[in-house]
This record gives sequence, C-alpha cells and structure tokens, in this order.
Amino acid sequence: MTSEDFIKALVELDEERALELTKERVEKGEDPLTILEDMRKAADEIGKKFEDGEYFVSDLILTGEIFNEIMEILKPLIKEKKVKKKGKVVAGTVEGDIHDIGKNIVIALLEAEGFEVIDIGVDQPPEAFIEAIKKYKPEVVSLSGLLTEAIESMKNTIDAIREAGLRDKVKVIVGGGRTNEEVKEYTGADEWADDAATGVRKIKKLIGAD
Amino acid sequence: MTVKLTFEPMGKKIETSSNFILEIARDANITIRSDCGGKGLCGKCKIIIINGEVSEVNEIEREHLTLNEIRDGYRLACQVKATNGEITVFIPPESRIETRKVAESILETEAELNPSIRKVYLKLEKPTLKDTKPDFERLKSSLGEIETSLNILKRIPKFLRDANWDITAILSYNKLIGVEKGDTTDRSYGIAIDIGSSKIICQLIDLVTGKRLAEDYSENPQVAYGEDIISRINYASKSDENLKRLQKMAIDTINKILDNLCKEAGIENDEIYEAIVVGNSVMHHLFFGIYPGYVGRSPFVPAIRDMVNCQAKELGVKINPEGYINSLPLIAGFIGADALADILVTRIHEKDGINMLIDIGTNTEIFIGNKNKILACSSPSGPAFEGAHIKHGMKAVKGAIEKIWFTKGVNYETIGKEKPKGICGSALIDLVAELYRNDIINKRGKFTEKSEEDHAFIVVSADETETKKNITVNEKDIDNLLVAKGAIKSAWTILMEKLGIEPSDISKVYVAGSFGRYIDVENAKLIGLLPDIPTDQIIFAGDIAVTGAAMALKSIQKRIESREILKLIDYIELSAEKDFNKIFAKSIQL
Repeated sequence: MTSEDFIKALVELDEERALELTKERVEKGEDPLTILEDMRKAADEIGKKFEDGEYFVSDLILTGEIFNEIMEILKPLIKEKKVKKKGKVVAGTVEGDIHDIGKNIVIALLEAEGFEVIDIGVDQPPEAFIEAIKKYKPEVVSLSGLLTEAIESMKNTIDAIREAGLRDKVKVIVGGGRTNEEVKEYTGADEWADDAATGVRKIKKLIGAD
Repeated sequence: MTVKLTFEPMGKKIETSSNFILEIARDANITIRSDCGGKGLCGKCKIIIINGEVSEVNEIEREHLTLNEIRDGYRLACQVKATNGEITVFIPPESRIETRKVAESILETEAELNPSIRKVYLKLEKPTLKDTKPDFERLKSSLGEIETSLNILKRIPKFLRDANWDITAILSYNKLIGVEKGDTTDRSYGIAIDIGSSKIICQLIDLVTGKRLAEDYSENPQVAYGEDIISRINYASKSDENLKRLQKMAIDTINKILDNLCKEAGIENDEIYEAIVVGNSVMHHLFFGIYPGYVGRSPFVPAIRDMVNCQAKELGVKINPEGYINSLPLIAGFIGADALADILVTRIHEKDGINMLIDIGTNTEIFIGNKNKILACSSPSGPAFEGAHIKHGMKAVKGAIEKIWFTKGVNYETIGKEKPKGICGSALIDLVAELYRNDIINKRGKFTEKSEEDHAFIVVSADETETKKNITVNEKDIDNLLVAKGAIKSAWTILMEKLGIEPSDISKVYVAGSFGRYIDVENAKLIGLLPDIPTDQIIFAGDIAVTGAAMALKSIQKRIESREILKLIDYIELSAEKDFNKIFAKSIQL
C-alpha cells in the first residue's frame, strides 16, 4: 500500500507527501533498495508523461529536486549495504558553459535507478573528462551544455577522448537544448538528448541496462 | 537561377538568386518574425506562398505546421527555398514585426548642466606684421591650453579668414574639434542612444538648456538574426563580415532616427558633437564592432568595462564626423551600460534604504542594495514574456492582447484597439494570475479539470480574431511562462538571501524597461514575478536607460558617478550558487 502511495506521490510530484512517506518507510526499517526500486518505477512513469506531452520542463526540474531530497535520506543507508551498482556514468557540463539544470536532473534520476554517477561539475575542459574516465572507468560519459558554443566544446572533448585512446572504452552521449542528430554526428557522440527524460532513457540503453 | 519575389502585403518586389526566403527578406530589409534566428526551432516565421516554385515541405516544417496550414500554403520562411521564376509571398499578421511601444519614463531627473562639449565665441584679432602668431596659437591665446587634430588644423587657416576671425570654437574637454562661423553658442546639441536588443531609442538633447528636443525609436533590425542575444553572438562570431553586418544594421538604424530627430528639431546633423550610447554588453560590442564571442561563453568576459570613446567618423554615425561617441561603462557579464544608466536615473546608489531595480527582458537584470553595496545579477529568463515559445504569444505590437481580466467571462484589450492576433507578455501574466485565482489551474500551472479541449484554454474564439483562429493557451505555454518567472523569482530570492533581507525590507521596487510599464502589479505579485510588497512601493520607471544616457550627456559629473557606482556593485553569478537549482525549482510554482 505504502509502495503504491509513494509512487503515486512521486509521479504527481507531491513533494511533501513523497518525503513524508520516505521517512515513514525508512523508520519502519524497510530496505532502501525497495524504495529505490519504487523511485525507478516513478521515474519511468514521469519520463513517459514528459514524452507524451503531459509533463513539461518545470515538472522535470521539480522531479530532479524531489529525487535529490529523497536520495539525501537514502544514500547513507545504501552505502552501508555496499550494493553492486548497475553501471557507472561520468557527467559534466563542457568547457565554456555553466548550465547544469538538465545534467542535475539526469543525475538525480540515474542515481535513483541505482547507477553510480560521478559529477565533475560545470565548465570542465576535455582534460577533466579524460582524467575522470581514467580514474573511474565509467561505461558512459555524458557531456552537457545549453549554449550553441557548447557544441564545439563537446566535439573538442570527444576528439580529446579519442586522442587519449579512450574512445572505444566508453560510450558518449551529448545532451542539451541545442543537440540533435546532426550534432551527434558532428561531435562524434554515440547518442544525444535534448531533454532529461530522454537522456536517462538513452544512457540506460548505452549501458545495456534497459 | 534568378527568382522574382513579391512580398505582400507591402508589395515589395525583389529579384535575386535562389535562396531561402528568410534570407532574401533579410537582405531586402523586410522583417519576418524569426525568434530563433532562422534555425528552424521556433516555427514563428510562418509565411504563405501564394504562387510560384519553391522547395518541398520538409520535416522541420511538418513539425511546426498543422496539416491545414500546409494545405493553405503556409511554410516556414527559414526552411523554404525560392527555386525558380516568379513567386508571391504573403507575410501573415502573426509573422510581421511592427514597432513596439516605448514606455515614457516617469522619472525625469535633472542633472546639473555641465556637458563635455563647450562652445566658445571668439572675435580674434587679425594677424599683422607686428603680430605674426600662427593661427592655432592665436586660438590658444583665447582658449588656453588646448589640443587639436590634423584634420581640424587643415581647415583652420582658410576658415578663420573666411569667417573674418569671428568664430565659435567647439571643444570636447580641452580638444578643439570644430569651428563654426559667427556666434553659435546658443546652438549645441547632443544625442543619447539606448541600443536595446529589440529596439533602439534616441533622444536629441539641447546642451544649452538641458532640454529634450525630440525622441524617436525604431525596431532593432538585428532581430532578423535572432530574438535573443545568444543567437546574435553566434551569428556575429562566425565571421568578420557577419559582425560588420550587425554593426551596420544598428548604425544605419541610428542614422535614420537621427535624420528624423534633426528634421523635427530643425537642426543639422553636423551641429551634434557628442553621443552617449548605452546598451547591454552584447549590443555594446556589436555597435562598436568588437568581437562578442567571449561575452557569450563562460567565464563571460567583455572586451572592456570602462567607457569607450571614439570619433563619430570611425563608426559612421551621422553626427559631426569630428564629434565623439562615448559609451557608459559595462558592469559584468551581460549586464551593460543600459543597467548602469538605469541606476543613474533611479539613484538607488544614493539611498539609505534598500531598493530593488529590475529590468525584465530575455535577460533580466536585477539589482538590490543601497549606498553602501549593491548586488547585481542577470537571469536568463528567456523570451517567454516577449511571447516566444508561447503558441499564440506575440510581442507588444498592434493587435496584441495586452490586458486580460475575468469578470463574467474573459475580457481583454488589444493594443491599438484592433482585432486580436495573439497575446503579449503583460496579458499572459494577467491570464495566468486569473486562471490561478479562479482555480482553473493549480499551483503547478496544470488545469484542475481536464475537460478543456486539447488541454487548452480559449481566450478569444476564432470569430473575434484577426487570424480567424482561436487564441488559446495550453499547459505547455503556462509551463514556459512559469519557468521564465521562476528564473526571475529565484534571482531576486538569491540576492535577498545574500543580503540577509526579506521582501518586506525593500523600500521600493523600480521596474525598468518597456515591458514593465504595462503589467498589472497585483497579478505580477500573485504569480511571484515581483516581490510581495505594497503596490504603491512598486514604481514603473519605463525606458529609463536612454534618460540615464541623456543625464551623462548633460553632465560630466554623471560620467564620473557612473564609474563610482561600479565600485559599489558586486556581481553574483547565479549558476555558481550552491542552492540555485533548489531555489529555482521552488520559484517556478505559483
């Protein structure tokens, strides 16, 4: 019953109710992974509503916030459990750009789904991405940016990853309001997404966890 | 391939080579609305092909046009190519750009008259064999320590003799920049220019009396290369030629306005010896022809902060070629000289109490502070309040619904009392406020009852509109507006948090810019666009940037003051704030 209520509160973006239920479930000693699984279900449904034109940008922003708040409660509990992660993603906003709202929503949703995400921040040069790839060995690297200028930075970053001999070790997705199929081809990425819901779906696909 | 196009309803004919119709229109100075700058993103450049050979309807067009529209010959000007022969294009009302209103400023502040341009009447002694002092030194003996340019020096010998040594010297600070015959000290003029991203406003100022002689404005034609400044940065950054084109567009427009003003006031362009220019950092760079690329990318650094000073002939601005063009200083990032001019007029930097100054636009600038410290930020609120990304949204031009209220049904008023073509920003605010007040939408902007057809609320039905289509708003439109509002609310919330104050600590809110002038305060407060303080403490200042420029034109002190203001300002980069995303998410809701 709580599980259904919880998913419903999340999908309806009822922040107060969702947090209340999270605390209730944690206090009852429920397995945080079960809660996480419910979040995944909710995230799927929200993503679908977005793609169906029922939810919009503001709803995704709010989703990101609610998920972040719940994750703050769950993270310490999950850590104790040392669960095996479903996959690893390095995410960052490329050099010359500082927009990170979309990136943060993607991270919140991926974490809720049990992926490990290393957020390297905004305005990051190619070297920072390369360093993170070497250190964390992720399956997917996610490059974000909203400015048109960011497209050039995405290309430079992917070129640099290739020159460092790491391109065949990772899948790369470019994300942001100005990305499209053409940008994907131009930058040499494997995928693209112009909204957070699609981003999450495509990253899961790239990891093969779909 | 040569094509012959006729653009209706203006009936303009153009013969050119095969190209996209938007491109052809731009080259011919026909403005077609194009919010995204011709990238096929906004779908606002709808035109109707009446007849002629054009390219096939493509995927992008299918995305933005309904099947009915395609059947009626609607196309997107940025996607359709004129291929061959004679073509007639009709630009429908919703795609026309018409000049918008200028908001008359209610804050007329008197600056002490002390311009940098001085005129001195001289009756010089003729040289004789006993007095062989050279011409320039002869001027110096009356004018004191001055300098001049080779250009002026070349003119002086003949001019002094032709004028029979009866002349007026024109000085900019201590530099001789001109000579006129006889006594013209009662005729001294300057021009104040505000280059906005959507319109350019000029005021002709009498520097003898300090009075404003005439004012005029025009749409900034650069909008053809993008509604927002980012699109224009992108275009200008591509090549020197593009940068020059945008620069020329601004200067040509200014020159046209100047001609009108001079005609109206009965003076010659050459009698104007100084111009003060203000504008945001990007408009400023484009006007001076400075590469704007680095302003547009992190860490958002302009080429210069201090006043730029150059001669009119360097830019081709049609005042006296030896006269000077000065800009006020820029603040930081996109926040430019126009914002500084706003501060000069509202004087928030002189007051004990804490005031807020807000200029709502595609980028919204916000200042909060007093004589000790002012925090500033720029919020990328986007063009939703200008009607972009809103299905039936439009700018505040003729035929736009500018006011909406619900009493016994939906009531509205349009600009120019014409048949409605769409809804502009001020009415969108009214509408969202009324929908929320009447429980038609919830605090997240969703309809409480899903019975509305296609999740849309009909504002005006087809039989009353100019376009013969229903004017509606749907949940997506409302969402876009709420996100734009959220960007603005989160910006002032963060500044207030940083200052450790609440909205109730604010003594006055000054709303600058033409947008602010027409919004309903109660509705703006209800949706959270403006802080909830008593209505009589919210002052709509209008287009005051040009007034600030005029103040600096009239008084050197104001220019010094503008440099002093810079020292008070702390620029806050919102996206670098830790809690930004959280506050933003909260600020979106009603």
